[in-house]
Amino acid sequence: MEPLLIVEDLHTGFHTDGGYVQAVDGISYEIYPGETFAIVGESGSGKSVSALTIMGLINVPPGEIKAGRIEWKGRDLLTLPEDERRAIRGKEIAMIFQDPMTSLNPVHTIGRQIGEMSRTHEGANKRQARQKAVELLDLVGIPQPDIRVDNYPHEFSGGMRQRAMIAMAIACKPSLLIADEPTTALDVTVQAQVLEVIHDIRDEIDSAVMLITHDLGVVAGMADRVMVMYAGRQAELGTADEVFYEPRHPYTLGLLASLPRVDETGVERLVPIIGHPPSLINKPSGCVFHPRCPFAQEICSSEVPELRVVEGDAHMSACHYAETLRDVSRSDLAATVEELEELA
Amino acid sequence: MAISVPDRSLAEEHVGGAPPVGETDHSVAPPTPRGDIWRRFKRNRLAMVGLVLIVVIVLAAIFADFLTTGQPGKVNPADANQRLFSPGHPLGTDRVGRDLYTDVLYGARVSLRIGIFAGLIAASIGIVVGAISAFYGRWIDTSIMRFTDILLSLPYILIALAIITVVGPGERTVILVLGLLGWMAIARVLRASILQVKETEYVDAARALGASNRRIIFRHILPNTIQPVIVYTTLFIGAAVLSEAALSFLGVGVQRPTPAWGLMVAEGRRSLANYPHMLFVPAIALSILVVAAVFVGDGLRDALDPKLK
Amino acid sequence: MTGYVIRRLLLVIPVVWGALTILFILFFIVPGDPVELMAGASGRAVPEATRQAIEQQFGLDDPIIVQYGNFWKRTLTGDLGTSYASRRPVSDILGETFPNSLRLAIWAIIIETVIGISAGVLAAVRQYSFADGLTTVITALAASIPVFVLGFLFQQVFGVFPNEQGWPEWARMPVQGTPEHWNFFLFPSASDWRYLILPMIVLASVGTALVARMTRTTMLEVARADYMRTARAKGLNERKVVLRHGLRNALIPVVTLIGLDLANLIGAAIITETVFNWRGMGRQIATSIFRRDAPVVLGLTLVLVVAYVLINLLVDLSYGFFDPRVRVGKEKS
Repeated sequence: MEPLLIVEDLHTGFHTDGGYVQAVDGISYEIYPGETFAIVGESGSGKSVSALTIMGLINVPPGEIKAGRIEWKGRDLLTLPEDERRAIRGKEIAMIFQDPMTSLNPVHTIGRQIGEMSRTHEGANKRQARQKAVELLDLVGIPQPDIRVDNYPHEFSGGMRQRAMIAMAIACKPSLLIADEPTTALDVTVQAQVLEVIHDIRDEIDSAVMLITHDLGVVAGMADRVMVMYAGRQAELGTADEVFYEPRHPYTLGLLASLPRVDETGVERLVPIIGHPPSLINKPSGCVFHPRCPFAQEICSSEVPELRVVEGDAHMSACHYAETLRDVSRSDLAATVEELEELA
Repeated sequence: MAISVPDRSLAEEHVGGAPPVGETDHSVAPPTPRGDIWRRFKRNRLAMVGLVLIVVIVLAAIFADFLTTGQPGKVNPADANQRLFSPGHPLGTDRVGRDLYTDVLYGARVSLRIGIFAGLIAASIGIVVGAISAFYGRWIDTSIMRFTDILLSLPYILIALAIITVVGPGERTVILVLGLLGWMAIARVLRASILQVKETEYVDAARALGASNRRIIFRHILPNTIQPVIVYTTLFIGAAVLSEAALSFLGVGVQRPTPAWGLMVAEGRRSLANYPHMLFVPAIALSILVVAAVFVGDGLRDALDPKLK
Repeated sequence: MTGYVIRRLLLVIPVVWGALTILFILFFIVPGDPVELMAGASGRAVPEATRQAIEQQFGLDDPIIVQYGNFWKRTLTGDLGTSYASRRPVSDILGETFPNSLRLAIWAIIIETVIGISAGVLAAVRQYSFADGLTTVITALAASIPVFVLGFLFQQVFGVFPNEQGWPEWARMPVQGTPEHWNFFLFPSASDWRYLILPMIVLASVGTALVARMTRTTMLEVARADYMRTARAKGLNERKVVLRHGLRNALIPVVTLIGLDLANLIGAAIITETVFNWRGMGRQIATSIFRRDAPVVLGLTLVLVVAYVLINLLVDLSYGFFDPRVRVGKEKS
């Protein structure tokens, strides 16, 4: 199967008063039709910036996209003229954002904003666009869509707004839907609903989904493949099962270990990842994670580990000692971290 | 027209009075450290130009005695109608022989005095009224705001005109009238500002930490809310100078022999055809002062609220 | 919603009452002798008999309270009184001056809106460019140069100078005067246009500057909004993003500013009216103030105040039209 999207060695940075922020630091991956690809990482890991770069929504000063190739259905997006990129935006690759309240225009009705997609990309007239909007609202599970279509964003609840955003994004049946932290701004109960909508929609319109989140729980039920990012670089990349059950990077281990588990009995402390997130202007040498890694060795501070296959066909990790992590369990990790904390 | 500037600058800041129903303004930030404000102000070239101009004018006003030997407002018919750069009269003289250079210098004092004192009066009253209205709330707030509305609905210039005509012209009257008619806008600005801040979370947080009401007011609320007042007062000073000019133009401003720029422009009007410098020299002086005040006011506003960069 | 409107309309009453009472106090309690005004003062003292006759006719010999009461009595029945100076009914004077002030104000608003908003949008879209800097400087100047200076300048440059130099008829502007004939209330007939142009531009100068600056500010704020990013993500071209999504939001406070300005302009055009000899209310009131012609001042100001309050009310109501979040009475989810 041919990949829809090939990202190769992408670097995106920003000139700021404090220095040059290397937000995306050489990442490469592919997305295949119909799959759900999750990008996981904390704030500042570069996950959102990489998505915005693909969409072409990075302002070039102060931003800078150095090197790399973004191939969409065979065409390199980075070399396309703007009007061609615009034709793809929304129509073939659509994006939904974190906060639906501020991401929707408060002075236009929901129907008009959704309808704008059909009118822009498919040449629909007002009536057709409105009709389409009603259908879409129905598709994402909004009750009374024919009335709701004339509401304004502030008249919707948070969950409904996010559904409306989804409806807007899928209006032209994009081949890839990028969801940037779609549930972060929502209540927990609503989160599950919205994720389900995304899940069902994916099947309905047969699109791939790039799910960006910092919440592993969100990833668990939905993702086919997962990529873990840290400080602008890739830490691990593999299927969901591989990454969750056989993590091969200390950061992934740390993320998993820091989750409270419902199924575990016994009084276990939460295992934190020690240290704090790195500066993106002055990154640590060698492996970016090494200052916080419980297993760090000499080589980790001097040589940048490459993302390489460490298990099976396509399970990749960027750790010099990836193979040795095979048998590390959560309690092992807890013990190591505890020792380090005592030393500090 | 220029006389209504205070009200319209107000509209620029806080349109229509209270914020619209149901909307909290999320842009209220904690007070910015002084050094930051100055740094940002310095970067704004126009604001710095304005500041320099104001300093120059203030210095010229203060040292007027040293900068000229002439007497302000001294009539000397023998020397009437001298053009620019005449010997002994670098900026020429007017119809009755008053030296423009001297009068402009001393006129700076008048304009500055009027602007600053009117601004102080308006600010003092405005701050007190606005604060009371915002803090006590309820019907005190409502009645004060209604009263303010009544006063604001009166045509500013016409009321000023009426009062001065009835009471008699002169510098002091002008200052009082301008100040008394200008406090309303400042009160509104401060009140809106306080209301916003009162509701923000960091006030709640301070209270949760046990801070007394007084401490909350001084440490948290006041530093933040005083900023728009400062910006507004600066702009008001510029507007007051213009208002004086307009009142003098109408004949009810400062009276001779005191030289005042507005008055000089009005006097110069008669000779506009033959001796345009009589009108334009004081006019340019006026404009420079007001433009400088506007630039500085803008610069202050941008420096105090960095998000508007 | 209707309740809101009614409440606001009721507010007109105390405002008008308060405003006029203040004026009344100024004119009837503080010295100034209307009798002299009417008896044709030419330096001679007014004969006692004449004085008494006049005082009786105008009720000037009654105690203040009675005069106050009478004033309201006749005003509320629509009788605005008679001018001391010209003996003409105030309503006649109103009829001559109010429409002219309104026309000038409306034209000024049109200029402010069209030029001000365009300039503001341009400056915002090309932030930090030369055009932006130029706009900032020009607007600062327009707001700072005294209106009468601007007026004189224009008169010189477009009126006196061309006249002196013998320029062709079409290039010269009249420096004073008001058009006599108007079509559809707003459009002067034929060559009377010329009388409108200079005063309209001068009157609009400050307002245009303020509108331009405010538009620029709000556009810059809006530019950072998330929904702008969403609009781009939908594949809209930049023009649609800026105009359809950005401007629509940015204009909300600007429109209110313009509305308030209209309310102000009707009365505050006094300087412009004086410079260009435009037969409007501002100039009329000013002249009447000097002459202590109380009925004219009170009568015209009454209309001014009412107009101001009504326009303000309209502006507040229209706020809901532009910003759906503020609309009263819609069901929430």
